[in-house]
Amino acid sequence: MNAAIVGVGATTFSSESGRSELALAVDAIGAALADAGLDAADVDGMVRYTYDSNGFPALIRALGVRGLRFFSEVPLGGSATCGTIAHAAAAVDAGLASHVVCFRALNGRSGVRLGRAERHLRGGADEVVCAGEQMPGGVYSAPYGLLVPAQVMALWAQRYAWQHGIPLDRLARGLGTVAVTQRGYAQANPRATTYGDPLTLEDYLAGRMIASPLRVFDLCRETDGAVAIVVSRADESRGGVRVLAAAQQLFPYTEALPAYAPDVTATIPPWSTDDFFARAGITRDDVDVLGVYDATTLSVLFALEDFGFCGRGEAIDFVCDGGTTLAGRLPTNTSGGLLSEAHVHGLNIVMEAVQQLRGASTSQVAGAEVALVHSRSASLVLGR
Amino acid sequence: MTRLGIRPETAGLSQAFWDGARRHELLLQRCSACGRHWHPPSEFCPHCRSSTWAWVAAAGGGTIYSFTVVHHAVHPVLADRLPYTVVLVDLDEGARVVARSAGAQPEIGRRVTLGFADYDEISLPEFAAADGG
Repeated sequence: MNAAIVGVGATTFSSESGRSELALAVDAIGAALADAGLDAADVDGMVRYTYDSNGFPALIRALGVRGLRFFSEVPLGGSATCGTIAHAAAAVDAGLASHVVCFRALNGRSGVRLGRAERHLRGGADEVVCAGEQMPGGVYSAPYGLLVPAQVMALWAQRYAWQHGIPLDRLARGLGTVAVTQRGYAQANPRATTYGDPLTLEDYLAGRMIASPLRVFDLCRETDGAVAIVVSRADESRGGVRVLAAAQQLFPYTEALPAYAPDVTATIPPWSTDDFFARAGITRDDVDVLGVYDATTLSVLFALEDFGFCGRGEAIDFVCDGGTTLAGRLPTNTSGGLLSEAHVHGLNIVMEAVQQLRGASTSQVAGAEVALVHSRSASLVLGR
Repeated sequence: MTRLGIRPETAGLSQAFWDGARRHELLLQRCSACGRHWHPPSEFCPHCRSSTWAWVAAAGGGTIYSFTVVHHAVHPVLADRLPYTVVLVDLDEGARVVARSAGAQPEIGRRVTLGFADYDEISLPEFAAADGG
């Protein structure tokens, strides 16, 4: 693709920004444009998350954008993260726009919380009403108390362990190792919300059970903040990070939070990943660093298996052998990820992949040339 | 009866589903063209795209696909329910449903039998071990 990420920017990440989501978006986009050496007047394309509260009209007025030639949005929440870059890359590659801004701005802790059920339920303390058919939180799930993503992922985790004959204490050690490894990365990253707050496996195991088998440290950090990313044509930018391939993926019953899929432990079918690497012109052995939309620790295990970095049911061995550490085969979520840096609905994972390929990560992988980023319903291969 | 605290807002297919549960029937759709069953409800058969189908009551047998025991209330209305168990059950008809768990902690792969728990607002499908254990 003739597309490159030429700028990244972020606000500080906190539990209470004290600012509007518009102010967060403007701040992050301004930082990304400055990073790209562009002005707001250069921007002629934007991609938003459908979940974002900022619409294009108010945002372009606030930013001083002269006009948009291309704008789109991506549904399905954080699973769509890489889809925003896919849209932007396709737009610049096809000539629909020259400089496209992707962004996500949310008061995810002090405002609407994705880990709470209030967003699905109307009414007071006595009786609340659920509506619609979404999983979870709709009329076929909410009455049973199945309301938030972590509970659905708990159902996946329980099944995953059973399907591969993994004892629950081994599962806990595997998931805990993901949590501890990423918390370790966050200790080098001053932007991380857990900076200065390390975690041991003992701490992890002592964490309270939220929805068995997932504990509190298996879950990502609800965060206030924003991230923006600027995509331009690769042949007209210098030093950008190339988008080697981008894909969106949607399969029947494997939508964002599946409960009805024949196998809930595979996020995408195998033929999809082989095709994806081929389009990027790489093999999986070329991947130096991995970014995963880690709503829970389990997402990391699934991504390692989905992309063939280890066999089905073997991801716990991979992480317990240090495979995702800086010294390992595939350093993963090296900013701390959603688990330990911040939950900016995934766009901070893309930002970290860019930093790795620029040689500017706080946990730099020596000589990193190719990054894979996966957010369930979309994936990217980035290269320098 | 006791209050559940959460009421589904129903219309069309979802109204038929919850009206069925009130009569202690777990309604599935059965395709008139290919004979297969499905859930959640849809106008179209997900197997053959037929839009000709009929409601049928599940016979009641199934297998636990997965479960979770929830220990944290994500809304105040759930605080009195803790801890509670949610199960995914593969019905013998070939459709999967979310349900309540009755009795002992579920085990994946275990045979279960359908029952219903009656609340003021609705009746919830629930499953217990088929051998009573």
